[in-house]
Amino acid sequence: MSLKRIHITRRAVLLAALAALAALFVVVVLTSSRWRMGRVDLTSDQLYTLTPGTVHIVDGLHAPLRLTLYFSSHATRDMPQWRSYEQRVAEMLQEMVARSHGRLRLQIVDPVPYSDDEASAEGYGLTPINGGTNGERVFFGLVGNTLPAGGDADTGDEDRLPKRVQAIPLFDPSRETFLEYDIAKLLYELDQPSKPHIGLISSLPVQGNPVIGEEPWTVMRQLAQQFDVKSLDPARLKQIDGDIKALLVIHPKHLPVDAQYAIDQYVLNGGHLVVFVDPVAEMDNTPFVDSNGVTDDHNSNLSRLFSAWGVLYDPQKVVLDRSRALRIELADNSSSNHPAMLGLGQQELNHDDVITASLQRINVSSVGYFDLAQGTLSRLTPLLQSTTDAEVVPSQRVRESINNPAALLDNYKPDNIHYVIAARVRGPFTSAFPERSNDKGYRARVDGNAEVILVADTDLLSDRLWVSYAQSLLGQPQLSAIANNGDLVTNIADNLSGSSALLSIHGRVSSQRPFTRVLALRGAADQKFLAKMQELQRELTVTRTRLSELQPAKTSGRSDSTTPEQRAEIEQFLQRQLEVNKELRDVQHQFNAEIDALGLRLKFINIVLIPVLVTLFGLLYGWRRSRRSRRKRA
Amino acid sequence: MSPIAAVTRRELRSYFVTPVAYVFLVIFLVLSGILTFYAGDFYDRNQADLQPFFVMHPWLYLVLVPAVSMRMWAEEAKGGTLELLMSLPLTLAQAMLGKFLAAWIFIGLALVLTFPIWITVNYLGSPDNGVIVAGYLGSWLMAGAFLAIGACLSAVTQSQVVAFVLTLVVCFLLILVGQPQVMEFFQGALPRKLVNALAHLSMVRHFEAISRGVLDLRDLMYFLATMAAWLTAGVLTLDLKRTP
Repeated sequence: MSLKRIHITRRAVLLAALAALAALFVVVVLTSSRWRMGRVDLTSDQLYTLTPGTVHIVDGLHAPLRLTLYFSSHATRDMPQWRSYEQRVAEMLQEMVARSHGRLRLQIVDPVPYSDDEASAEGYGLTPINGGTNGERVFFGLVGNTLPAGGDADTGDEDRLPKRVQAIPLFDPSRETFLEYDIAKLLYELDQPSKPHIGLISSLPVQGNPVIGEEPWTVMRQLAQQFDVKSLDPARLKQIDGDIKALLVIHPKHLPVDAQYAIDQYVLNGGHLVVFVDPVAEMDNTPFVDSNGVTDDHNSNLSRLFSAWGVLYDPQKVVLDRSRALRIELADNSSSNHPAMLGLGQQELNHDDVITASLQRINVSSVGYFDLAQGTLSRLTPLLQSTTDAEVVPSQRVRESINNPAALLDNYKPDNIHYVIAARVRGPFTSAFPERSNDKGYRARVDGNAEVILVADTDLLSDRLWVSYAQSLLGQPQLSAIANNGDLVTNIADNLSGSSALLSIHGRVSSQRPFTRVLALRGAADQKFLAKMQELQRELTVTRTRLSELQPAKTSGRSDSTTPEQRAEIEQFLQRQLEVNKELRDVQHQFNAEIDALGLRLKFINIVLIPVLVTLFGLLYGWRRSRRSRRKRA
Repeated sequence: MSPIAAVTRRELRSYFVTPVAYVFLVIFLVLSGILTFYAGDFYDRNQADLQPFFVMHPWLYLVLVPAVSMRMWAEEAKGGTLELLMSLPLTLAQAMLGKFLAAWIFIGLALVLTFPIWITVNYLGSPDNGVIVAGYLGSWLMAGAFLAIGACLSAVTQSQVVAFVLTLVVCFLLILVGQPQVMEFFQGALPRKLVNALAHLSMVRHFEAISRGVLDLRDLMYFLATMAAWLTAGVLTLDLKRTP
């Protein structure tokens, strides 16, 4: 009896241990999901690891923020690309939340059609895209808002009105490389208590003239919406305040030495500067020869500072680029391509820089170019550049051909160089004013590296190059942009006025990696196809010429009859056309066949080859074993 | 040699003296190739990564791992060799671990033999090899978790077929739990916290997290905890069966 009881007890203990084990497993798995433990990012571009800049921003958040990621999960069931991108975005947000010491709260919402969530997504200005499952709209954006200090999003503070709201209307997969930058910027801007200050030194009337009712330029009006723009008087400028997040210097002409020194020290102390210079500033309204007989070429330069930064710039040289020439209307109502007025497209904009990555077109006029001086330690990253079809000419020639731009094409010889029209210059800058080393607070060199943005055109700021006005129904002028010049300036200001942490977050490599070998095959086939097509075109032209040569014979005879020569020619051409068409099909076919054959070879290696080798190895091993055992038995 | 290593060696050798190991390897390689190239559309997809290869692994293991694990204990029990094994100077836990390690190494070998796909993707483009390493590691860990479940369920029954079916059902449930359709189904019926808890139990979710290229200790912990729990349960079950 007692033995039996012991047995039963042992079984019971084992069963209890099993039950306890199951419970322990569930507890460990569920609680471990909440632990924040170490992780190793094995991706080559550290896709899932935040850059130090982002960590710095997230670490230093002043007040709690709530992030709401809207993603139409239901509507994207058949859209794997969007789903995987959402995973990447959510992963990055979760990483930021985990590092925010509780300052960030994240909520992921699926705004199903006709729900309150959908209404709020729309209310925050999120951009839906069409084409979800069953034709539903897909929302994929982020809304961030500030929470009252000490407020908790999870415990009943929902009804308190958020103080400020910022949104990313759509996470566009084509902007994946800037994902981290975009989110970090949203956090940074939400965390800023007021509009950042921007300083402005300009010898062009960019701010308009209220006395005569002249409006500021559209670029400046756009900037004023986001920033507090402070005009600085260069004549009295001795020092630039530390609260100026970025300084815009537009068309610096005859800047007093003190003002140049102030700019020099501002940059060396970590200030963010953008300079717009121009070999021919068309918006410069100073007389070419003033009443004192002083001549003015309408060009600008900042030579002393440029040479301190290792930058070469010649205010007497203009870049022409006939392949990007804009068509303009001349005084006599005719129109002509102007090789000094350029419409720069995506190929001339830097796709890897956050400032220019998402822009489509920038219009510029009579631009200069930058280069690096020999032996400088500075580095130059082009933002805008010309094509290699560009040529550099003296600015005098451009001014002279104002009424006849076609004259600029006389003796045109492309230099085969991409001229840099706008660039970031980064380096261990030293002061351009070593003689002032005894001044109070003088700084001789920058700690580490400094960065400035240089643009060799001021005309791109003017409305005439990028804004078109139309009259609305109510008679109000309606503005529409024909180029992204305004966005370029806002992006520069955005980028420069952000914290240096934000500046340090650069674009990441996209996670898309195509089969380069297949692409190369396809490219080669396309070239062959094109060559064949051109051959056909040439033959077609020759045949047409021959047919037209035979035409007089046709017109002299009856209109409905063709001469035997014509018939023979046509027949020969048709025959040749059939042949070339067949050749074209063959090229296409051959190209497909090459790609298919490569695929087939790879399938064979992966599906058949190794299994066959394993089978052979197994048979060989089995045969040797059986022979050995037979020998042993014998 | 430690008892665990001795059992591992003996078991591993026993795989290769019969054609079973070769048949398994061939089926694994052919199926993984076919699933990658045809179901996963690897070539036409034109992306230099092994996502179509790894995404099929849960389903591949679902069929093949129970086939490896079913004989682990069921065969010993049926053939009467369990008593013999127990008479040797080793504990149940050591025997369990040795057998499990042998099977895990065997599956690892099958994974290693898929190396041509790695070479293929490097030949076609420039994949992120760090992500591929993570994918292989995640896949091997998942195979280990499935094997541990199979080892335990093989200890439950004397019949290999029953062990196979039981393992398949449990692994299938663990795969299903993370699927969006299933979570959607539960979302209406269960509280959100419970649904989230269920999602954490999903094998696929942790596997996918690793195969994205991030080795998070939480995911590694999940797999190690799963293996440890099921292997311990297997030892307890064997002990329970030995107890009259």
